[in-house]
Amino acid sequence: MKKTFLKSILILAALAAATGAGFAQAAQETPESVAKAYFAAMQAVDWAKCASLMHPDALASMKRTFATVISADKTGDAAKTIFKLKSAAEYSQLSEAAVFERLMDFITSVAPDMKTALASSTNTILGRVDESPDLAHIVFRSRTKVASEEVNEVDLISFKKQDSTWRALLTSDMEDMLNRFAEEMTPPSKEDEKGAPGGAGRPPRKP
Amino acid sequence: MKAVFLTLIFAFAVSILSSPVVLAQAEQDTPEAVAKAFVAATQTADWAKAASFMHPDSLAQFKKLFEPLFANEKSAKLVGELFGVKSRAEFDQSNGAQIFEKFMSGITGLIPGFDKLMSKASFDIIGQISETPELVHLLYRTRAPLDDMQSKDAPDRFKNVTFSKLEVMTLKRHENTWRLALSGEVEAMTQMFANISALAAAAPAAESNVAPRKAPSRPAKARKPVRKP
Repeated sequence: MKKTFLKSILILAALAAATGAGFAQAAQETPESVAKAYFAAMQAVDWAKCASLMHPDALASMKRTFATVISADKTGDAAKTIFKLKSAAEYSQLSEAAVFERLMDFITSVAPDMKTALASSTNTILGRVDESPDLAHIVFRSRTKVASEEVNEVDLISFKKQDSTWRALLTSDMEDMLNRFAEEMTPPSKEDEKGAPGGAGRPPRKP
Repeated sequence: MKAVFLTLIFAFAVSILSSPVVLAQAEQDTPEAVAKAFVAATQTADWAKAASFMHPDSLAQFKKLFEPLFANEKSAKLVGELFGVKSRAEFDQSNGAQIFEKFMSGITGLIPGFDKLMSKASFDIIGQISETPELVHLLYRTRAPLDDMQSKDAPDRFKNVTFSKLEVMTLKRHENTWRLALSGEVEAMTQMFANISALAAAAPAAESNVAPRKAPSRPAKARKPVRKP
């Protein structure tokens, strides 16, 4: 009887500790704190960490975008070169986080300047705008050194609630870059070969 | 006599305050109102009016952006054809607002269906953040149906496609109101234009007998890096 009682106490204590940790995490993780952790991971070019701070929806969307590229690439080169796979068939088995990590590893390997720029960049959070209880936008000032020039701009990153915490969505710059990259990797369709007009893309941004 | 004078002053003050100009300005005194007025002007392709909502520093910066392209005759000719500035002299004589107006008119003329697209775009301000008392960032979402974008060989390419994007617009205080600042992206274009000018200047002389007027002010460099994911 005593043994059963002690066992119950232990289970209760373990449960309390686990819940306590959960509460602590919820209390710590605001969109701002996740943004800071995300920026730090970016600066360290730690893509696995970045992926862990991203929302599953964002990672899933990225995987879908590149699934189209992989399936359109009959040579299988994209799967081998970008995602280090033996064949295109293996792509579907890659986790969404792994797709992100391998893709970013590939991009930084072909554009080493990007690594240097990221390492030297600073992102200062200016504030937060809540669009809904589950969607918050962090506005930040980013300063990045490119060669001897400093690119100083204000940008935003959105965070979506996930369980008791917040996770990052893709920034518009990143989405643009990945879409452009995916477009370049996709073999031209018959329609494109006929020649689409120039300037028929997205409208320009603000001046 | 004093009462008559005071009445006149009062009447004058009321007439000034109720004049459309003053009322219009009062309505535009918040960053949101100025942003909305700017967007409304762009939607009707009224680029002169749009320019009037931009900060004078930004307009000067906008003109400076194109300076490298007018550094030599070859690129000046190319750019001139694009937005109707015939020579370096004409460029020099135009102010920032005029350059903005010409450039935007030229660009919109080049993209079929762009004017319709702009007129149908929605602009919703989600919130604002004040960085300093003089600098405010507006977070907005823009949505535009792309159906009117024309693709000669693939007419249905943009059918039922809606463009949606969340953006930040920065406004700087100017006197008693707010005016739009250029985005960092536009600023970064300066280097790109300097590179184009340098390339044009370096093109084989056989293409043109005109010698470059002046070397580009900055060396050619890589474009700005990809931003954070």
